Amino acid sequence: MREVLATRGAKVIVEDCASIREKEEVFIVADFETVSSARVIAEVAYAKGAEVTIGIMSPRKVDGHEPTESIAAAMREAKVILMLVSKSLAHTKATNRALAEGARVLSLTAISEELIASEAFEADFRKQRPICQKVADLFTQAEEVKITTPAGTNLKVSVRGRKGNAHSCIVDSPGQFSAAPNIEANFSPVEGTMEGIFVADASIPYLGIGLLSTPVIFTIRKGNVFKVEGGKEAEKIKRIWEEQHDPNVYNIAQVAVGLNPRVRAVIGRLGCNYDEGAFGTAHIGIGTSTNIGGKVKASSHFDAIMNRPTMELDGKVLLKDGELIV
Amino acid sequence: MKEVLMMKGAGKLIDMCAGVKRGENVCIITDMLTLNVAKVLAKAAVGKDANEVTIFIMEPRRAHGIEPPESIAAAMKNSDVVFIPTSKSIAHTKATQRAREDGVRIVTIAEVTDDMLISGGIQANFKEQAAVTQKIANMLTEAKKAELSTKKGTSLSLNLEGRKGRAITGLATQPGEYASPPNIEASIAPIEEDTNGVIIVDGSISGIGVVTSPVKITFEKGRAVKIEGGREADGLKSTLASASDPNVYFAAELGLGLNPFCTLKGLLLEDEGTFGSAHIALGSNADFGGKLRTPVHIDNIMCSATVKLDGILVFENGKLKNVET
Repeated sequence: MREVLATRGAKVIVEDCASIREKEEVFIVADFETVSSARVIAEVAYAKGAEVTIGIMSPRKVDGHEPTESIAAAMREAKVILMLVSKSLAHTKATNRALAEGARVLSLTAISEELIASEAFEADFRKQRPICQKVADLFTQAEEVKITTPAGTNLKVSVRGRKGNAHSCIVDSPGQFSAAPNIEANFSPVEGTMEGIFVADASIPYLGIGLLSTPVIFTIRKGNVFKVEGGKEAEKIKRIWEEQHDPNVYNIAQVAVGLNPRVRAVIGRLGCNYDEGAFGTAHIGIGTSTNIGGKVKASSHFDAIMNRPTMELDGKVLLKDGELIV
Repeated sequence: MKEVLMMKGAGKLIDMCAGVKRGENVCIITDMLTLNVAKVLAKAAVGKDANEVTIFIMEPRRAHGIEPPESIAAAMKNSDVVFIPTSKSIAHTKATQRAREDGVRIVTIAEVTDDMLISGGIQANFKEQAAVTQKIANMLTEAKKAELSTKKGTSLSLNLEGRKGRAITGLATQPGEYASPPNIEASIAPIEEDTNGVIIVDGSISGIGVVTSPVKITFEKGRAVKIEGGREADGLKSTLASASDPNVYFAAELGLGLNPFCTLKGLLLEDEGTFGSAHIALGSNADFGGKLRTPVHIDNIMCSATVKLDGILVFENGKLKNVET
């Protein structure tokens, strides 16, 4: 009966995030692990008067793997796509092509009825949208960003000439992409410019890691991870990177601030889009950056989250101990 | 636990009917009323080591022959094999035609029910039955004239000259082939203007179901000029009238049912395939060599038929004659 609890969140996803209108063709991509979530969304979309089609495949092995060819072909014909999947399809050719054809794409990775029913979807996404845009605009205008945390993060990076991105979880015009319930503003820093220490003390909602029992300490030189230290999580990351034989996986791809006011702490269990949006956190993305305005294409991309960041843009405080000063 | 009982039939559809091979991409198109069958087929396909098994669920079409959503049409073209267990048939749609042109094998099962995978026509050995079906299709191709009669009073003559018979075997193992198991039939589109006589439909009518009081249809110069009977006759008349197309009154098809395990159930593919039955369809036949393209195709099924081709018996009261098996 959990689906009853998820109905309210499903309504927010359909009406606010995906902005689905009557008679619109909605294509839901799901996998064999997420069918119950897909059903809840389909019910609400159908009741709203949309024409609903669902494609179900076997779960992809890792984030970023392409969907089946038939689903990729179906995505190119769709006007609105909701990706309710176990593993992210966000950075796939299939998604990029659908966006190029003008589809609105909402990514709901690691989806579960528990996540749909969670407080993350109680957020007023429309109200939060201008705040998110404001932070992105400040990134666009800034030249240098400094980040510190009580756990020991101390970073400096250039954002000169880069554009801030606002991810408000709302897709209401053709070709738009967002991932819900992660409200975040981010930028891809100038390659080779980040220096300092990054202590991820909250979570790494990727690579099967989740909530961190031991902080992971990344030493960053010239925009690349130079050293990883910590406990078993750090060891796992090191091992995965080594297996990839790709120097670009160490690239600092992204700096982001979580802005979902209903998520006050990371919990690991509900996946990346829950944790990354947590208000009062910031995260660093490592690996591919081409999809967020950077220049590096790597064989992986994951994000690591820190608690209570203080962030300065050209000396002006944007976040103080996790609280937004705008 | 019905799914357990359905697995044998699903296995036959995957193995025998579609010939799914290891590494193939299988697509299953279904609607919100028939998902159970799709799930069982997916399990059987995964068990066969198909490369990717993708299920697409759409809203049920309002009637047979309505196109699927564009996203599904695109998906169909990007597969090796497509199964279509649905409530309404999308067999005669552009989507299906285009996928076939691209070499996709298609198995449609319209009006599908869970039970259809457990017993009835699904129990046939489709491979074995294909030879006799092809033979009768060839006889239809060669024949100039067909005579259809039943003990109930059917007496109809049809001109087949120059038309090609088709074998619907329930098998789609070659690129671009199409099947609709459990139906097995040999059929032909007669010359449109030359069908004359009377049929007494005592089996079933597609879209209406099993006939409780026989429907008498009188044909003159190819067209149904009079439809008489009870409730079912009224139903047929209103279906034809609502198509708003004078061509729906033409006798469009003569079909001979050849599945020994099919029985009359009020389900299109079981009824048409019933061994020894014959059907005369009203409406479309452009897909299989005729000239008519109309919004409907309605099969009218007669039990225990007698069929003569150029004077030679093929069916006598529902029994096969003069066809070596």
